[in-house]
Amino acid sequence: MSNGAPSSLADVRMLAERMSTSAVDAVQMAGQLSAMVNALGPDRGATLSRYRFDRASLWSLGVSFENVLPDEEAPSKVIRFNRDVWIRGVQAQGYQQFSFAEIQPTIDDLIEQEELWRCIGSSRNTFENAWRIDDRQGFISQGQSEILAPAATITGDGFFPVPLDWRLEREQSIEVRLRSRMLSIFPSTGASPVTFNNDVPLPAAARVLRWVVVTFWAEEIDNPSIR
Amino acid sequence: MLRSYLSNLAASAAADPSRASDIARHIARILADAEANGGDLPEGYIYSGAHTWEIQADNVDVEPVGNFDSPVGLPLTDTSNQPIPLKVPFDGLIMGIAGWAQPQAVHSPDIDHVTLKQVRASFCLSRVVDFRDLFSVEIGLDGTTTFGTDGNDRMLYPASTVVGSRLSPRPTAWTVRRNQRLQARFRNISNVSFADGSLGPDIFVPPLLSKIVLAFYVLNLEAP
Repeated sequence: MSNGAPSSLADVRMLAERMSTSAVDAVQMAGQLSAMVNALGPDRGATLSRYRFDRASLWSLGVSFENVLPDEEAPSKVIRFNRDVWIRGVQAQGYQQFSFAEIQPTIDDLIEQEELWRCIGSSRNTFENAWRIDDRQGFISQGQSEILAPAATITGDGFFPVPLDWRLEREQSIEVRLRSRMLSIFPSTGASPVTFNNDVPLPAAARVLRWVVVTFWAEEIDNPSIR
Repeated sequence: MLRSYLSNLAASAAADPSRASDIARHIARILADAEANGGDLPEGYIYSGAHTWEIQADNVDVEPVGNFDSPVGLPLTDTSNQPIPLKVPFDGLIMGIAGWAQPQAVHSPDIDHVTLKQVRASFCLSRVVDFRDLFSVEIGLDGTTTFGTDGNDRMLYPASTVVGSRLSPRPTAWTVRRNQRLQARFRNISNVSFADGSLGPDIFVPPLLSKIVLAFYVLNLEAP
């Protein structure tokens, strides 16, 4: 084992035990023991950035909102989990309406809408979120009081995850709040209301968020149990 | 475990043979404790994360969604698609998970071709890397545990909120054992943004996902 190959804990321990029971072996193998100890691999912390979680099972604790109207906060949704977990990150995804019963688009209309949404950017620009635990003061605040913040600033999309690191105790609940920002993108009144084109008002459905999902990435240190 | 401490002990044993036996006993006790606690060495670290397991689904079509006034079919967080299993070939540490899909433009029943504009519209539907907003996913283990939930029910969520991309996989540290069965259910959600009946079939049909892949990047915890 002194030829450069890494030693295992078991190999070194067995050699040490053999030396401890035989004075002759102890003298003859002391050099080998030293070499094998030096060839032990690095500690977990040096090779795995999250070595403390190397038995963790994988959870996505989420809430789903459908058909969120543009001018009101959606009823909050609650996650209540029956085991202790570490919350490691939060992601969100929203879906808008591309087509409406009132207006059957052409393929060019559809492509134009897709390009419009690409210009608007992430779907997380279209809604705001906040979350709190057990009805207590939320984590999203302006320093003094809880606020709803644009999802683009507080959630990730899997590619750029927003990391979190807090422990959720068994039976604690996460309450997730959601408010649409569609009216700020497509005003319906005021000085600059948005129309579908010059003649046709933008259908009400165009301002509805069809589906919004917020998930918390969680790790449970125990092996997964049967649900 | 303090490697430097052990190293100094072993060096002392080599330098003073009269104490070698006692020192060896001490080292053996430290290492036995370390092994009992799972060891400070990551099992199998020398084997590197060279393995990738993939769960794949082919030609996944959309399911009815209705519209925002009258949703039909299953909830968006459920699917009628069956789970696809993967039998775990060896003890492994899953270090990351990524998802990817490929949309394929579909022609309407009346027309036997699609136009380039329809192909473009199919690909431009996605605004997330690797098309992960076009499908939802639920990961499970051994047919009984599913890891997408609100605490009460099993849920499929958009892949962009469950897994990472190929460039930036979701970091995990999840140990699975040989012969366990990983599984995944997929749903094509590329029609979520379209109210049923609002698109003429000659205009656009929500795309098929000709391939959905869930990739698990794995460290082998067994000796090769």
